[in-house]
Amino acid sequence: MNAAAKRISRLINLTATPLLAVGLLAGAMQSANAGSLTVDIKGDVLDKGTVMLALYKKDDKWMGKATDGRVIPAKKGGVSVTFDDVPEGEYAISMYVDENNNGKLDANGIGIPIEPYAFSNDASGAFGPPSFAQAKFVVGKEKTTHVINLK
Amino acid sequence: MDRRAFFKSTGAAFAASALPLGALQSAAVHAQGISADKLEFDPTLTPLRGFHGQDVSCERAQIEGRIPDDLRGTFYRNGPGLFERGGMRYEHWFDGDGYVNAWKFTDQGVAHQARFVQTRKFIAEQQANVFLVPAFGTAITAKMPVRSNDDVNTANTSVVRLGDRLLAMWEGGSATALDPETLETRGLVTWAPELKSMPFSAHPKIEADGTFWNFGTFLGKMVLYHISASGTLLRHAVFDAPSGGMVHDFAVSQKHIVFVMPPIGIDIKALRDGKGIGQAMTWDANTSTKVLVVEKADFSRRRILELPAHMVFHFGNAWEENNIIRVDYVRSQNLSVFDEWMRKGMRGERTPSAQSHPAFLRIDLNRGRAELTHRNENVEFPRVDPRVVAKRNRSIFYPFAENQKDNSLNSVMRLDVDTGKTDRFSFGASALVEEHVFVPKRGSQREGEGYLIGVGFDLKRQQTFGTVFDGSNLAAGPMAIIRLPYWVPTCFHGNFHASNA
Repeated sequence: MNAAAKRISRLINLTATPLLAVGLLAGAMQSANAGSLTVDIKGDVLDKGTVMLALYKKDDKWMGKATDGRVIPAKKGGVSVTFDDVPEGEYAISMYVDENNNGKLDANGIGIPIEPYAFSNDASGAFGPPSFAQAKFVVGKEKTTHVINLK
Repeated sequence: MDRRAFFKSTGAAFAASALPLGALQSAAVHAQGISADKLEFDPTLTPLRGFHGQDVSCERAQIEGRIPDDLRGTFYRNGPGLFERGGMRYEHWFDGDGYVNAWKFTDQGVAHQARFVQTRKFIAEQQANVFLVPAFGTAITAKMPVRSNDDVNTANTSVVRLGDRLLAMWEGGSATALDPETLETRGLVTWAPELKSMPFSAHPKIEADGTFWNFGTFLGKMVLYHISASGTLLRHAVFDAPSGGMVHDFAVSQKHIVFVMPPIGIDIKALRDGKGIGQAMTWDANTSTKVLVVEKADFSRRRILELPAHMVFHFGNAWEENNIIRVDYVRSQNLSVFDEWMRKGMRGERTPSAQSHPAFLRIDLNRGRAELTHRNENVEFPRVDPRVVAKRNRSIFYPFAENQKDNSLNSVMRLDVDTGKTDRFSFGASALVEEHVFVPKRGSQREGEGYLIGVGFDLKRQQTFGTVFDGSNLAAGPMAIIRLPYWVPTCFHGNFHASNA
């Protein structure tokens, strides 16, 4: 488990509540055909709290245990994270801004998230998260940059 | 599958992102709207054509008759005002963007102004000139992320003054605050951090002292709001609803809050496949319409009674005496008005609507019984004198259909609930009328002393007009007709706010 994953594990108690945006993180896998992935998160709701980001590859259980992840302070204007040595393939991202740093995605009384969240492709679901297919993008051999727009 | 079951099935992670309204990026293909260019619109339905995003105003409307000297203030109304973008037209009347009208009654006459509510949806779609997000009754593939119900909030159902804010209300999400003078949009109203994006109905009940009650429902959950006259949240509660579908309006008595919940279900699979929520509604005639009675003093004290299946949109009032609550509303048989008549109307086809009748519910709290009776007039949009909200009322005011083969509303009626007598005026074949609201005469203390004001559409002139009736003598005809030099889209609901004398 890498440092980021350890920090997420401390931040969130995965067994306590289903209202968690970021799953358990395994160490990044190495591969000969690996490139780097940079995720640029843009939007005007990044001025407080912590960005919680989970990276899933195609074979992962989508919205379950993630391949990798990052916990980084939110920054006004936008944040950027880079994953090195990402094997080629299809990936998807779920992320949210933990504005009050309580380690979870807060929801209102009827279950609608009240902290900013997003998926890769800016995908959104109907009455639930979008599917992996809706959120997927391809990481190639070289550098890949993916932009997520938070509103 | 209900929402909780869905959460469980997804296991950990992002279960909270159950999105409320939406039909997004689905593989399933549904017809997306009506092609706008081929429609032959019935001229009696002109106001359902909608506008193309423009605001209108008229500094001095032409007045026939005389406006009473004590009728001063602003009559606010709201309704869906825009139905078409990029050659595509919404399929359902409820889909349009909120368009707030202000009829200002001053010593100089009557001025009219109408502006579109600048919701997030409206601003983005104005810029793109296509519909970008799913609508209530039209499946539209999302072209921008929809992450909360307020991303599809149209603020299109009613409008009321609360403190220094004007609230444009939808029912599936937050109210939108406007400037009461300019109608400029200020933004979404969040009553408390944990109530962000919660549903807030367009039918708050406001007692004579200003006490403001409202509710919201969404897929099996309900929220109740108790708000002060100045607009501060005093109490709220969230609990499981006894039935899952749409609840549009409610009633408040001296001690209780009453809901009548028709057997409407939501087909979650249809929603997830890309249908609009209005398209995913089901009617289960074999189950009951539930009556939910909540104690005002303690929202946790609730009881449920049952009635045979029937539909209700709008309530007049409720009051109680000796543990017997009386509630009046307008009942119809099922969802046909909503499913058929409104959809045809959006295509410009005038067809008969289903009948809807004054209904009277008697809830005996001692014996745990609910009984429903009804009259035969064909009515909608009941209102009472604002001074008797949650108290015993004698009169109910309705638009109604007199000698109309298609049941369209061409008349106004006052019903005396004690004697059963009615006082009516009909515009015959010359006009169709919208909701009419009661405005008390200044200085008067007696229920029914005042004016009944509303809006109509002159079929021949193809123009919108305002009406002022003597509330105690509708049969005498309007005291004043206020003519606008244009038509405006038909509104759903509104309220009068008296200016300070």
